[in-house]
Amino acid sequence: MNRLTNPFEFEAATKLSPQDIVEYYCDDFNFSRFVRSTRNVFFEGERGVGKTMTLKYFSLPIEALKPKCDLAICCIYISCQTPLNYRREDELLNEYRAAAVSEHHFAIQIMQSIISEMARAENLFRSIESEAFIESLENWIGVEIPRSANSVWQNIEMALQVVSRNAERSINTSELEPFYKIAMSFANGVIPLLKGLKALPELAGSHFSLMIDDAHMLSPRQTLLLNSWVSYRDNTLFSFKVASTKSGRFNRRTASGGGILEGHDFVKVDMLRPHQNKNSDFGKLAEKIVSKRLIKAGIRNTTPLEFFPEHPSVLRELKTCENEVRQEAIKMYGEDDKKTIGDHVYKHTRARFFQNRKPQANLPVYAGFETISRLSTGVVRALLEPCYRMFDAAVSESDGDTPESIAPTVQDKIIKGMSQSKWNWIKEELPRVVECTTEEATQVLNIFEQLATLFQHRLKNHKSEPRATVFIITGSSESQKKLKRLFEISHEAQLLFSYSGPAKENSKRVRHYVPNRMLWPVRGLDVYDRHAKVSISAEELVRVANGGKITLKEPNKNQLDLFGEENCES
Amino acid sequence: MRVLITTASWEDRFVLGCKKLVEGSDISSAIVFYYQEYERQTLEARKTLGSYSANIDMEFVSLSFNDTAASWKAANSTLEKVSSNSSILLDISTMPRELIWQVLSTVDHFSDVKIVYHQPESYGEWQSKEPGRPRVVYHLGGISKLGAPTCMLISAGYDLERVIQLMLHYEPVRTVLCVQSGDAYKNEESRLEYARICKEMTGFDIQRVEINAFATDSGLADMRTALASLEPDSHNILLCSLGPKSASVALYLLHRQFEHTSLVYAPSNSFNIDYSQGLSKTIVFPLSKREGL
Repeated sequence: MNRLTNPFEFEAATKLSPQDIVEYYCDDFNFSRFVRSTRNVFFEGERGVGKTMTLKYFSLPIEALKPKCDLAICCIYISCQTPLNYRREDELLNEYRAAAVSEHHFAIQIMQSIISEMARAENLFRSIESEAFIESLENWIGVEIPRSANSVWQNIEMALQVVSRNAERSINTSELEPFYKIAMSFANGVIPLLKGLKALPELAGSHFSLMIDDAHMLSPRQTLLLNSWVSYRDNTLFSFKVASTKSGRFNRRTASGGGILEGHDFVKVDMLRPHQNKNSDFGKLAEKIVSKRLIKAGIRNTTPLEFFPEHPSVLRELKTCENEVRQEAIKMYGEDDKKTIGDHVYKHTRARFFQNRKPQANLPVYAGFETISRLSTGVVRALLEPCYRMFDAAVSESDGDTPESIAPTVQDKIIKGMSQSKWNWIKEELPRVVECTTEEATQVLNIFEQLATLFQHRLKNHKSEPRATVFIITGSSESQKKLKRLFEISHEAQLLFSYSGPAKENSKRVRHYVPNRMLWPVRGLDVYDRHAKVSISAEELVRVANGGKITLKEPNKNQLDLFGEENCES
Repeated sequence: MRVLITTASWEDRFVLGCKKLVEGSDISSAIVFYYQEYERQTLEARKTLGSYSANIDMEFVSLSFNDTAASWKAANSTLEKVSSNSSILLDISTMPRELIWQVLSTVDHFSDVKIVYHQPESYGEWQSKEPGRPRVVYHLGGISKLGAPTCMLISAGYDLERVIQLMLHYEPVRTVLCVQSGDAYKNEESRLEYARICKEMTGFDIQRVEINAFATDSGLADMRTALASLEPDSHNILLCSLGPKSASVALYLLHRQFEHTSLVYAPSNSFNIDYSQGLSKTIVFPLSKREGL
């Protein structure tokens, strides 16, 4: 079908028009207050969590489209996904030359991005055509700006292009002398440009927020440079907002051998929102995103929950389970202890639904908006993809008519198909898509297979927290080191997500690991996991990675907490 | 003075191909690159080569897949010594594409450069696996057009997952996949697979074109047409070769013509010891006649 008619198209934010970004973006105050601040902020999150969309939404050209355009914080979007950043000639040079070449590429790119963003918001600025402004800017950046019939911004871009082209020609031929004469740096290029722009009355009181996207694509040297700039600490004129994937986590060292400290030099924001009940941050955001998409496609008078309904038979069975569990709780705790009864019902109703299923029964039906939302594991792109496929399938089934809702059977078919594909992908394609050896790919598969086995066993047998599918790692640091590479691969492949969460003791924080929930439907697991976490020793996971079977403990009736795990409500 | 430039391999076609060239032409010296990671596997072949080319001034140059900068420098210092009056026989059969491009960029102003490709009798079940992180080749990154979107032109082979990996890595706004035409080997199967991924990779704008990398111009004319569709004046274009080796020569020539293009190498971390068997025919073609520029 025509992709434009599918409201759940999940184009990368870089490919959306400014108008589409305004229409699709769902403001999340948790992030916007960080973007529009004068502090240095590092945003971390895997592909598809919405990093680019968030940065783009606050960028100057989009700000110019908003009814209440506010230039107190002037946000400049700077992508690191550019051919200039892919260049690696610095690796062939001595330290001094390498640093100069790396900084030049990075600085000229930032300058070009600033000018390009200004050009796309040119309706905001009135006095740019004045000769005084152009001359002043020339003095600031030390580059002659042509006076052609083009706009001032186009002329400045042209001047920067000439500098960059001449520098690249020099680098391509290894004749670096011409390069040194024109090389740009942060101190002699970017800062003077920002100061020069402050001559515009509209920007006189502005703070520049330089938003570096896809920073994991920077070379190691450029990462050191960026950290050095972050360490300036004087955030009067500018600050950095740096977005990168967690798997491409980069170091915090600076070019001078120092380091930058979280809380001191920068604030770190984890963009993965792991808990996804409908009242959680991500649950609400998911609903907003899908509502907006439906409205934009002209599908009105419906909510995401109505558009993606649950299967009636599942709802009936859940109701039966709820009654059954409630009666048990009343027997155990007495009728008056309403809170304990409520907790027990919440914990065990869905688990009972899965426990009551006969071993030979088919997999349950997976449908409903909340199921889809949870399957995304907090990744916006993973929320839109099943919606896209479901919409496509529904349109095909209805001979091209816009559906009023997506039948639960259609949803179920798509979800199980995607779930199976995810397992097939690990088995067959992982070493081809993520940089890893075949042996490492097999170890990753072994871990996820055995985690599925563990969670299935818990779902059927565990007395306290049967629905836990989040885990933490304990055990020796040596074993944890052995797992590190496998976890990096899993993160990069988006099979595993992680976030820092509370530990049971001492108000410490520990890393919580959340497997991609799309793996669970074909394993018959509940995707409505609880906030509980399973504690697994690193030694056990190393053994499992190498082909061992995970240890499954039989339930002990006298003990609620059976598997050595912690249960933590957060 | 005729200089053979080749890369040592354990494949039959390396020793058999070199023998054929040595017996059939007046080679006076040879530069034989070999990779430390496969030093043991290529030892026998290198010894054999030395034994039947006693009258040839032979230089074995050690490179490493794990140290690309040191390898580039080692290859460069060797190639710089070759006189531009020399006739070059560049055997690309077992040479990694990154090295092919480095050699071509050093010798392409020489008056006599011939490219040699030895076809094997058959291929193993698989050729390479475990792709590494793609990278732009040193000094062949072209001239970036600041702020312009990035497109890709990929000469695609049978391994479609490497194509997917490339696109996910660079996130191009548009991609042209050049797939091999004709009925040979697994062509039909791979064309169907590519048709499938073009449909499934939502969010990517992919155009599929058929080329014949074994035509007299190595598919250059078709690839140039494909490149034009990516509007090279307003985009940065990454050129990547995963398909037939001869297409990598055509991509080099395209890069030389269009300054906003960069040559990208997609490495593999593992090669099949049974990569190919035997030696079938040998194709030799002059670099200049293939240009068509």
